[in-house]
Amino acid sequence: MIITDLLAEDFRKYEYLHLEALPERGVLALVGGNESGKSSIGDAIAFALFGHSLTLGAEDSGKLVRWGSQAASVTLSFRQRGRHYRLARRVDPGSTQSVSLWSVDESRTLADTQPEVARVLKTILGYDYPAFVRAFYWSQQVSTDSKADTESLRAMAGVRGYLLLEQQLQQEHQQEAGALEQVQAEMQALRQNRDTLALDRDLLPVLLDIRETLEDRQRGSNSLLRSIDLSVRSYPEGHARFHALLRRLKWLSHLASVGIGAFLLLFVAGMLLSWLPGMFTGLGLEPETLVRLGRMLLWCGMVAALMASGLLFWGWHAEQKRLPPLRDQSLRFSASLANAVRQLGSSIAEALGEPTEHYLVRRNVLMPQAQAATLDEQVRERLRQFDGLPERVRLFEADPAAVGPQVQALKDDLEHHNTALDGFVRVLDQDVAHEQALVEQYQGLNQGLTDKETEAGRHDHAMRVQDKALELVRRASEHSAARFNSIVHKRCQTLLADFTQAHYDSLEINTDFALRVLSREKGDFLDFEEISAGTQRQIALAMRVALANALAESTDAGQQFLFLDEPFAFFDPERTSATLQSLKEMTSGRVCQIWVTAQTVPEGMAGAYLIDCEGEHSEIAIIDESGEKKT
Amino acid sequence: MSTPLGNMSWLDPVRFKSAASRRFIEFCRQDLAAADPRPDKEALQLYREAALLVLERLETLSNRRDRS
Repeated sequence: MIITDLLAEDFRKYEYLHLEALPERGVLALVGGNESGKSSIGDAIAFALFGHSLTLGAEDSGKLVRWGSQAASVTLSFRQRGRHYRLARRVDPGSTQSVSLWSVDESRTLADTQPEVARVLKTILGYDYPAFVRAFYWSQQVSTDSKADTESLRAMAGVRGYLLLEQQLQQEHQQEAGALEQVQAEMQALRQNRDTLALDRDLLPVLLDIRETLEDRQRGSNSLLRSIDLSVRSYPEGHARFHALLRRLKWLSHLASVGIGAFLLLFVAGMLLSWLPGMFTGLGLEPETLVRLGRMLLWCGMVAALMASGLLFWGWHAEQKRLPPLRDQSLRFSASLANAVRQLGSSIAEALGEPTEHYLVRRNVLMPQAQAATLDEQVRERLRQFDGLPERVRLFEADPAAVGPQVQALKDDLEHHNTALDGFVRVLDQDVAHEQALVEQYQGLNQGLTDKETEAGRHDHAMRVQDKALELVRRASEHSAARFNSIVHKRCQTLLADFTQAHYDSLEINTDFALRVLSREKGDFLDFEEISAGTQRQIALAMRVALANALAESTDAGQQFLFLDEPFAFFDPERTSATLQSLKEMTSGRVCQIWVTAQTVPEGMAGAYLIDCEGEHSEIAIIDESGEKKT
Repeated sequence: MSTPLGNMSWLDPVRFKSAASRRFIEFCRQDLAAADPRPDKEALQLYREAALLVLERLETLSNRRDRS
């Protein structure tokens, strides 16, 4: 891209500035003191192309408007690959911009909105604003830091970003390591707290088993009490009915025996009279009368047999239907009593099992076995009064009047036994609650530990990623530095020697990413930081020009302008003259239009174009190489 | 974009706009292609996470520089 015409109105200090018929090849020196408007020309070029200057973004571009004016406008005419374009951009004090890109050859507008102009311009030029300021626009004003040249060269080599990133990643790695250390300390504290709990993991299940056993025992005991209570209340009535039934059956049995006896007598007599009447002739009765009498006796015998059968059936029916419920009742009662006696007579170990007994002894709610044995013997002695009671109750032989007090005594013992079980369960509940709290605390600490382990895992993973990232950044930096050194070695040595009057031949970035220059006099590399500020600036300038050349070639942009704002600020006259000479020689290549600003006319300007910015008015004059002014 | 090293679409330069990111992607491609022995799945995953971390930071640095 070559600038052919620049027109600025109400832009910064310029009410009207028109640079026309600009030479396409050569050095254009913009000369003037402070505030003369040299840098404003560079700003006008950057503003026209990208909508902002080096120091003001698009949002502040209203500050480019000349004081008291309604708007600033810049029209930039340029040539790119043989085609002519005109770019007009306008901004008001509120930073509202309008822009249009015109194709002079085709006489048509190519784009007239800011995004569209940016897009089309990038297509035409092959680069955008960041590439422009890195390669084709250089300002001493933004490079006042003593390290600026070093950083600028590192940026050119592509290692500056990596170095910044390496520092950032190392810092983050340290933070991550600190965080991991803290999490590990917290994990250690959690482990100690967990170990302090001394939780016996098997205890709670055992306690719950014991509680279940005790509760089963309680439920069984209560059920037994209810059953005994019901049975003892119904026993007197059952006892009375049972014995009444027995008496009735006995009476029926007697009657049936009499009936059967009568039947046998009448049957034998009837048969003898009917079949052997001759045996009874002595009775003085006619044989026919005897036969009739015999038949009558047979009928009477039949009647007696029928009556006896009926009585037997009645007795059988009563025994089958009315006795079993009573027997069941007595059997249940008897079984409950036997069960109660067995429960009361058995030891805790027999009844609840050894684990429960050991636990109860350990908790001091049960006497040790030796003492308990004595007590058990006393209990058994007392229970002897109930010996045979269940059997007598089963047979309804126990007197209801005597059964009541005996059963009451048994119930009292059972209730006493239940009260003891209640006590055990209460103690057990306390222990279960305590163990459950311990288990919950243990689980909480375990969960906390798991969370911390996950967090530690995240930190550890992040550190491994950062380690790998640092390794990649390091190797990528070395790769970039090697490539930069190779390019410098192949393409920049001549330029470097020209700019430094052959004092320095080469530049390289070493393995520590420090810049070193090869001194021809000393035949060795020197640290870039060791050489004078003027030489540093010369080398940086040489590298910038080399970069501009490289970019112009790589983007196939054809010819290219380069704007250098006060590049000679730290140069002595001899160095300035040598550099100018090198720049003029360079204009025979791709970078053929070089704009340079300076406070005064530098020596060695012969052959360059001079633009004097010191005029009273905003208009400027162009002076050709012969010294004649061209307006 | 399947290669002997698996899907490399995460190294697509189109996703990143800064020149530094593109240079780094080019480096990663060459580095992975030259890796001997070929990294296993776990090592490749670590490489990918680390490379994406670097790319993300390079983009951030580039955006910050553009804004300033």
